Parts: sequence; structure tokens; C-alpha cells
Amino acid sequence: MKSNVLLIAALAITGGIAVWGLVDNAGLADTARYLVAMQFNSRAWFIMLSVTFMLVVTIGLAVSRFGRIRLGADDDRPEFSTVSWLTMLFAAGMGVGLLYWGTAEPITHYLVVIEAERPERASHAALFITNFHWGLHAWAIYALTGLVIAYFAFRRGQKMLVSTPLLAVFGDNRASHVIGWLADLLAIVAIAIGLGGSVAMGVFQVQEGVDALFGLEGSGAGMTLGIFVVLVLAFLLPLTVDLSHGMAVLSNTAMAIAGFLMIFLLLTGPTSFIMGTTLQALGEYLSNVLSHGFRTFTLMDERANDWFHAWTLTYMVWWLAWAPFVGVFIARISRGRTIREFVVGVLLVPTGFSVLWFGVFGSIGFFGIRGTDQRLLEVVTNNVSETTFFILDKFPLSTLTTALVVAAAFLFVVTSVVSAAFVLGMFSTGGDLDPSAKVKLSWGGVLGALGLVMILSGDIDSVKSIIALGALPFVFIVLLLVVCFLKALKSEPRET
Amino acid sequence: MTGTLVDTVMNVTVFAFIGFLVWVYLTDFGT
Repeated sequence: MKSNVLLIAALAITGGIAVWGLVDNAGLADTARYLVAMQFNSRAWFIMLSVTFMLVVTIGLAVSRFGRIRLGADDDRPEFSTVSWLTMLFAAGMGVGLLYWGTAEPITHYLVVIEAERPERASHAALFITNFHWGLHAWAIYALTGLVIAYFAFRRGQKMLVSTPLLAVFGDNRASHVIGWLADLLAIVAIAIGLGGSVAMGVFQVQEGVDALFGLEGSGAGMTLGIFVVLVLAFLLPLTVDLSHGMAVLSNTAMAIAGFLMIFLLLTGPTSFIMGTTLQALGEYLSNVLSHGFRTFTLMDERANDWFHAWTLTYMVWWLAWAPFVGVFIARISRGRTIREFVVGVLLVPTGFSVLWFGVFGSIGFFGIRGTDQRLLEVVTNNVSETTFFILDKFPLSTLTTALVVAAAFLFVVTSVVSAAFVLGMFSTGGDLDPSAKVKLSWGGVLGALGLVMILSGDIDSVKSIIALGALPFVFIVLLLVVCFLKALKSEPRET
Repeated sequence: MTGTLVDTVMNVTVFAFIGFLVWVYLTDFGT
């Protein structure tokens, strides 16, 4: 009964936001922007402190005696080989975002920094900040959430719910059930709205790709809706049957395409320039990543602060929004690993991959700017969704690579939504590991509707604000979960 | 030199939350 109430409340809130967005899209976007700005103005320091705290705790756990604790019984061994585990982690980290922002994000930051710095400094600063957004801090948020979920599910044999650690620490009483219920609800809202943003970003990306493939110039709202409908059908269908194996194949295909694209561009592009720039970017990242986690830009002018809010803070909140969803995924594949193995794998491998990815895509952008072709800057400024295709067009086999990006973007969104509908179904039915098709379809529908809301908002900045609004309350929940987890660890015997 | 009421309230709630976390960590709930 209680889980039914949760399901109804969660569907009502997320569905309500979707209806609000469909009826008064500008109103929702404006409200989101206003509330998010208020939070960011007053609590920027707290958000940065929280994510840095999570990174420090994650590393601290790996190097401490707790690093030897197994996520499962002491004699459990990992379910997947290390190679396939790492491949699946790649898949979790790879998403439509990397395809979308590969070149666009470094160039966007470059355009801001270039006003105060020389071009080479601006390029490095732009790559550094991009790596910061996609690197250790992001993965520490995922890793720690995943650790909490995996520890209580596999070592304590409890349900895979956000509320589980709270009940374990506060005991089985009314107050902890209320807090736990709220935590589950906030997690559901954060995931649903975050995934809606992904749907929108995927549709924007696919549409630009289709335009590029068929030489269409800004194909308009009809095409956007057409792509959206195809996408929704593609993810609703698998929800009605058990296609977990098929989904893994699709997700691996998308990942293989992304990996192929990166290697293709590295080899056919200015290889030594890319490798040189990437190596230096890695060095700058490693040297400055910790101190940058404490930067709040408070003493800088309004423009710098607006940029900091629109990018760094929004990203951190975005990772928090995805944390329960990605956390559950990472937890499910990590049974039997020690905390130390878990942290090393989840923090270092995807971060290393991101540094390489942005190194390749970013360097190619900077290489283009250094030459005579300045049109890339116009593309990034005027239509950021087109950036990846603009770059691919400069390379051999551009029709093939463009089609591959479209296919990968499509597959990433479909597989994300299908897994998200499963996690939302599980959370909203009290931890049922096999939620009914009806529940999953309801969530698929809500995710589609939220995606449509974000598409109607028309620009990526509104999408970011709406996601941030959904995810901000979750900052508090994640921190509470971490404290409950640390508290539970204290009861582990010394010689594990 | 003075801040706004909204800013103060937003931050006081954060301070209270941090205090709550410390309290949770240090208290024995007997579970």
C-alpha cells in the first residue's frame, strides 16, 4: 500500500511538471531559472563543498582499511570479469552528452576565456574546465552513490532503495519511514527530470544529424516531433517485454560506435597535435583538479559568475540528478568487488576515457580555429547541436560518420530511458526487482512527456535549468546517505 | 554592507543541515 502511495505521488509530481511544461512552457522555464538562480547565488559554495567532500571521501575509503571490505559476503567473488566490468562502466559514462559536447563544450569555454587570455592559454583553460566537469568529481558522485547502494544491498542483504541506508541507521520507526519515503520520492523526481533532459538532447542531436545527412537547413518543428515520436516508440516497445540482453547489445553497439569515432578522428586528424594537447590537458587536470574543486568565482565579475552557474554548478547538480540511476546500474554490476577495486575502477577508468575523448574532439576544434577556418566559432555560438556534425564534415567518410553519430545518439537515449524506466519502477514499488510492464510503461510515458517539455522549451539552457531544479533537493539526500554509509562502516569488524 | 534576508535564510538552512549531518554521524541510534 505504502509503495502504491509512493508510485502515485511520484507519477503525480513528475506528470504534473510535464503537464505544466506542456501547457505553459515559458512559465516553467522561467520559474526554473528563477529558483535555480536563487539556489546557485546563495549555495554555490555548499554545492562545490559537497562534491569535493564526496571526492575526498571516495578516495579516503579506497586507501583506508575500509577499502578491503567486499560489496557482498566475504567469500563472494565478482560476477563479471574485470575487463567486461570496466567496459560496462564505460557504457554508463558514455552517453549522448559526450557526443553532443565533445567539441562544443571546450570551444564554448574558449570563447569566454579568449576575452582575457592569449589563444593557447584559453585553449588549455577550456580543456581543463571541460575535463573538470566530466572527470573525478562527476564520477565520485556516481561512485559514492553506487557504493552506498551496493553496500546495503549486497553486504547487508537489504533492498536497493535510496531509503534503505536511512532505515538501517535510524531504525524502523515512523520518522525514518517519513524521511526515507521523501528520499525515494526526491530520487525519482531527480532521475525522471534528468532523463527527460537526455531525451531532449538526444532529439536535438539526431535532428541536426539528419539535417546534415540530407542537406536540410534547419528542418523545423515537424522534424523535431517526428524524431521524438520515433524515439518514444523505440523505447516504449522494449518496456513491454524482457529485453535486458538485447538492451546490453544495443548499449554496447552505441559504445563501440563512439569508440570507433574517437579512434577514427584521432588517426585521420592531426594525430600528434591531438596527442600533445591531450597529454598537456591531462597534466593540467591532475595538477589543479583538487584546488579547482574549491573555486567559487565569488570575487569575479557577474559574467564569470553567470558562466560558473550555467556550467560548473549545473553540471555538478546534473551528475547528482543522475546519481541514483547510474548508482544503481554501477552497483548491480559490482557485486563481489572490494571497495578499493570499486573506487579505482569507477573513478579512474571513466575519467581517463573522458580526458581522452575531450582531448580528441577538443583538440580538433582548436586545430580548426588555429587555421583559417573560423566558422566553427560561429556554429558553436549560433547552433551548438550542429557542432559535432560540422567537425565530421571536415573529415573523410563524413556521410558514414554522421550516420553513425545519429545511430549512437539514438541508441544511447533508448537504452538510457529503458534502464531508467526500470530503476524508476523499482524505486516506486518499494524495491521490486521485476516491476510490472504497466509500471515501467507509465514511467516510459512520463519520461517521454518530460522529454517533450524540454524539447518545447527550445533551448539547451532552459533544459539545464529544469534539470537543476529537479536535482537540487537531492544534494541533501546524497549527503545524508553518505553519512549513513560512513556510520554503517564503523560497525564493520577491523580485520575484514 | 548587509546581505539579503533570502541569502541569510538559504545559508542558515545549510548550516543547520550540516549540523544535522554531524549529529547523525555522532549519535548512537541503537540500530
